[in-house]
Amino acid sequence: MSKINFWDGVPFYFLVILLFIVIRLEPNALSYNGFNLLLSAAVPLAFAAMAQMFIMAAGDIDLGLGTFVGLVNVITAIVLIHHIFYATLIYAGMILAYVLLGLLVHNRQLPSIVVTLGASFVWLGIAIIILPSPAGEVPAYIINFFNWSPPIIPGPVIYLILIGLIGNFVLMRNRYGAVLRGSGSNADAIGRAGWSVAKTKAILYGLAGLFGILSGLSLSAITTSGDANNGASYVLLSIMAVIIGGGEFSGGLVAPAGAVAGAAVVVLIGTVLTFLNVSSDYQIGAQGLILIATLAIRAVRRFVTGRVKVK
Amino acid sequence: MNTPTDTKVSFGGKVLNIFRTQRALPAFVGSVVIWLLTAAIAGRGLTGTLTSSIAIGTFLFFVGIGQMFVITSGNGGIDLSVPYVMTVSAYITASVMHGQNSKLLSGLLAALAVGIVVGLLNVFLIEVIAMPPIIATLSVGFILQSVTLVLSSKSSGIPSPRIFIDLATGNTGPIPNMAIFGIIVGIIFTLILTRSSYGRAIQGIGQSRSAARLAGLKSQRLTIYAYLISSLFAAFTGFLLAGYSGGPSLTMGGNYQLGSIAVVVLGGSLIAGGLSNVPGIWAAALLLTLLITLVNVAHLGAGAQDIVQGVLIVLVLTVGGTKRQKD
Amino acid sequence: MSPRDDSKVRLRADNFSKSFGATRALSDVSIVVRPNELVGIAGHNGAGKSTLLRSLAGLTKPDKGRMQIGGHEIEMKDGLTAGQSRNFGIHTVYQELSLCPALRVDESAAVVLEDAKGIGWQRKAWKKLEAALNEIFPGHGILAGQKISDLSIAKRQMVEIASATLTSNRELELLMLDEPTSSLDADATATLYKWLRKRSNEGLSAIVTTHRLNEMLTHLDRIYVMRDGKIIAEEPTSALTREKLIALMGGSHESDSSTEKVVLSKASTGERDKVSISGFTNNELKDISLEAKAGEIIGLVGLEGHGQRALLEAIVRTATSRTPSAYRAIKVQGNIAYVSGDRVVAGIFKFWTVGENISASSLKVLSKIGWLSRNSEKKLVDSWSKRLEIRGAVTAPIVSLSGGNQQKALMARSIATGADIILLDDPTRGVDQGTKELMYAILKEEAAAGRTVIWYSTENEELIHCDRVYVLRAGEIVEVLEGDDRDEARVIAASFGAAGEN
Repeated sequence: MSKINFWDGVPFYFLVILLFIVIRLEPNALSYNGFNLLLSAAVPLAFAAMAQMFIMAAGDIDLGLGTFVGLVNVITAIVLIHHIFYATLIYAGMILAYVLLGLLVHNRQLPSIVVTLGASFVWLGIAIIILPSPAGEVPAYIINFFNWSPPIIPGPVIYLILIGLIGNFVLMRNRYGAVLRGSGSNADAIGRAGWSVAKTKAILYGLAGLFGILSGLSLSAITTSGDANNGASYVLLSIMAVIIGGGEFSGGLVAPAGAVAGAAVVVLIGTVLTFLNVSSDYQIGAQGLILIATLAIRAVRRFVTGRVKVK
Repeated sequence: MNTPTDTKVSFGGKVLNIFRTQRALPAFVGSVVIWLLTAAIAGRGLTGTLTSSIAIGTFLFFVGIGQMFVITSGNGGIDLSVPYVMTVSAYITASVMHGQNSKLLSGLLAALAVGIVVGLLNVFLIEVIAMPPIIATLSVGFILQSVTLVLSSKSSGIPSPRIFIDLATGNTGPIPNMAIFGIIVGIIFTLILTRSSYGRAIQGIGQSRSAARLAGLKSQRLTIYAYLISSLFAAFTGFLLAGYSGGPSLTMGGNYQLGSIAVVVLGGSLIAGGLSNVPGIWAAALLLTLLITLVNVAHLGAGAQDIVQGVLIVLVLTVGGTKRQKD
Repeated sequence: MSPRDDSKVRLRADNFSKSFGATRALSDVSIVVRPNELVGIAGHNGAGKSTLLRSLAGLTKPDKGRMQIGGHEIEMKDGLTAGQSRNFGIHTVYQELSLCPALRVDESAAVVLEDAKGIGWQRKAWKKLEAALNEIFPGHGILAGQKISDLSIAKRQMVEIASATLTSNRELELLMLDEPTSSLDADATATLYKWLRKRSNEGLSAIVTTHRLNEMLTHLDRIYVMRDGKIIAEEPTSALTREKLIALMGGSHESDSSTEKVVLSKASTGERDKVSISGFTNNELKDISLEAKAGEIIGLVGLEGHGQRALLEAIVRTATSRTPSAYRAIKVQGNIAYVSGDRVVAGIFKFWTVGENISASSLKVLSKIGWLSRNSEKKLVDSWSKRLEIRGAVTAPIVSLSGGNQQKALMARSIATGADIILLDDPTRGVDQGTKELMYAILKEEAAAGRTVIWYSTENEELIHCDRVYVLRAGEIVEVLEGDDRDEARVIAASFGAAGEN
């Protein structure tokens, strides 16, 4: 018996409200093409949000996600088109790198902030070496795959639902998912119950790497070319999506479906601002403000219900 | 009798003392190595490279000092708003000064004001709203980025006052002014860290918040000062850097986010807090600046620089940090 | 019920010994647990109960000892992991909760149940957990979908206990419960013991450690009494009474007339109270009233964890609070210095030298306009290091000192502040006798000079140095001892509460 309460639905309420606003501002949006356009940008972000969510489930944070996605985009635009085999090898290597990062953070008790920040520069550096300035060509099959859209239900909607389902399955519907979340919540207890904590970290980070790759691939389908700086904003945006979706920074407390809704919310906020003719200069500041507001509301709620946050 | 716990008496007691005082050593050694490498590959300009690198590295050094205080305070303290504060300060001070020599002081005051406002904002979010420092400072940074974009569109290309540019880029004798200035500030803050009660106290709270509380140290106040110092340094450095470069630019903050953290870590301060030193930051700033030169001279391209920085940080963290005790 | 047969033994622990530095936690301890048996381990603070249980559970490694269970023989010094202990069929309910706050109740159960996997794993896990909960704690009211973090402490304890009884493919041989009923209400406690008895009839063995003497006497078969790391008695409960148990643990309601008469050297010069508490209640303490004048040494004793530390904390919070009356019921006149006994977590600054640790609370005094005077610091540090006879240069790293000397440094830190009131949180923990004597002498000197000392101690011999001793039990003051009454036997007796209580 899963108990879904009122607060779990918050990101979805936001989503509905935003859709409502968007449609009010631009009635044409309420159409097949409209939804397609509105939500296509949410797909890569939803993948990224999943990646960040896995890291946050481990009790860590990933500041390298943005440049990682950028690197994937570069590989997709430069290598994949010519050498499928090598490109796949590189993707696999990148996932492995994430696994190693996770083991390093766990084994040496290093702070994930700085390690992932350092990693972010490695990804960026590699991307710039491969592709100093925007160029390249994303293979048609990638573009077609992620832009696939069947009749009646727009493709992005299907993809978002799928991502949510997969994330949900891995972390919530799956027994090992409970172990994974538990390792971020009380690693000692998980260890005492006989599970390998190192393995949980390796898997969580590996999953993050995998979804990072997927994010890069789907982003490439939209950009159709390569740029090392693509995806740079995904660090903050992915954190926003997870937080809006109900996730917290204390390990283990994440909501996959909410995070996907959060990704859609983040994208729609940008759309609303655009429709309101708010200069794009303000968009990034608005994102910062929204993140602060979300956490501030949560702090107020905690204060009111008397639960004290342990510092 | 009480329920006992294991009290480990560390063998490395004597080693710890040496360790503590020489934590800056690797950064110095590294700088020398890179310097020699650079000179070897370039084939000339041994002293020139050094003095100009010291001068340019001063900016990184300054934001590193600010970042150091925040990191030292422990509790996950970090300031990711640094590059954004630098940039917004550069633009604000540029428009305040409007290129006029007479307004130099106003510009400086404006920079300090920016530092105070941002510092207080960071602290408010972290201590009152209980946001993790990473998120709080990053969010503030993004807000500042918007502010910068708006400012830059309104006031494009205001050059810095002439006198400022001359001062910043000039030399006293053979030595660049910036280098001298950097060393003076460095000495002052080394003394603050090692000889002032604030410096002592901030390293205390970084080692153990609970021990500090019970010893009567006022952690919250000390943390507030740390974030203020960081923002002030960031704002001042942005102001200074605009002077040095002739004017503000949107990308000036670029390398300073990771850079400010990197110099703290490479300089031998502990990322978990509680054990820091200033000279190491100076040497690390020099090291990273020389690294850029080395990369250029070796024709390795911009990407290599990023990679080396990133790898260096992870390496130093992995090898150098004290293993966090299981409590 | 199968007859007691000495050759039929479920668990045998032989000659367990464990030392933590200078402290002997276990001294040649041997116990035996048979099938169908509920065994209790009784003892006052630091008797060794927890260490023994942790050794059997694989969380602490004894220096020597041998364990026999289910046909296996284990040399303890070779090391036993928690997983191995569990594999032998030993399930333990720890005192610190080992649940993950982020997980739901059914997920939490699934994590410990090997066969709760595949489709419907939550249901499978919940079914087993619910069955256990219903059996042990009928009427528990716990739902599968509740998050652990949303449960009350009592409910968490229930989940913890019920989870410990779950097994997949191995039989539960021995259940060890460390203070299981401390957070449970009377009903839950009753049903827990009822269930334990039922299972023991079916073959289960259990070890229970608890301070609730009546519970032990009513529900268990046999009790080991521990004191100072040794087993000093083993009796079937039928042969024991409450008084006898207390006496075995060293307690007595009568004062020992051979106690030295220590003259109260405090001149009650009509001085105001330095600390005065009247009727203070919070979520850990109930109706506390206490007073301490200048020059007095007040002791807080009783079983560990019964509110002494919470009381100290409340006093600290009152004294350091910026809002005028953090707690209306507590009045503090003067400033406070705190000596922590938990050196590693709450005490030392591990990267600093001895001297820097000593001066840590005196920074303001030693500085002029923010500048720390090296001379003043050196004078302060040298003089206190000498007075407390700290073995180790003031320039040595604090972590290079022994536990006792580290404690002396912490004490120096607090007293050096010249604060009117000194609070001590079990400062002689893990400290050698010589150091203890010195610390007592210093405290007496300071009190004679007019300071007020409030001292939480888990070592009952120390109370002889106090002018007045408050015995706390479950957050309440149950006895105040002065003069001749200040002896260990009275404290132990009072720690366990009145005859009618648990």
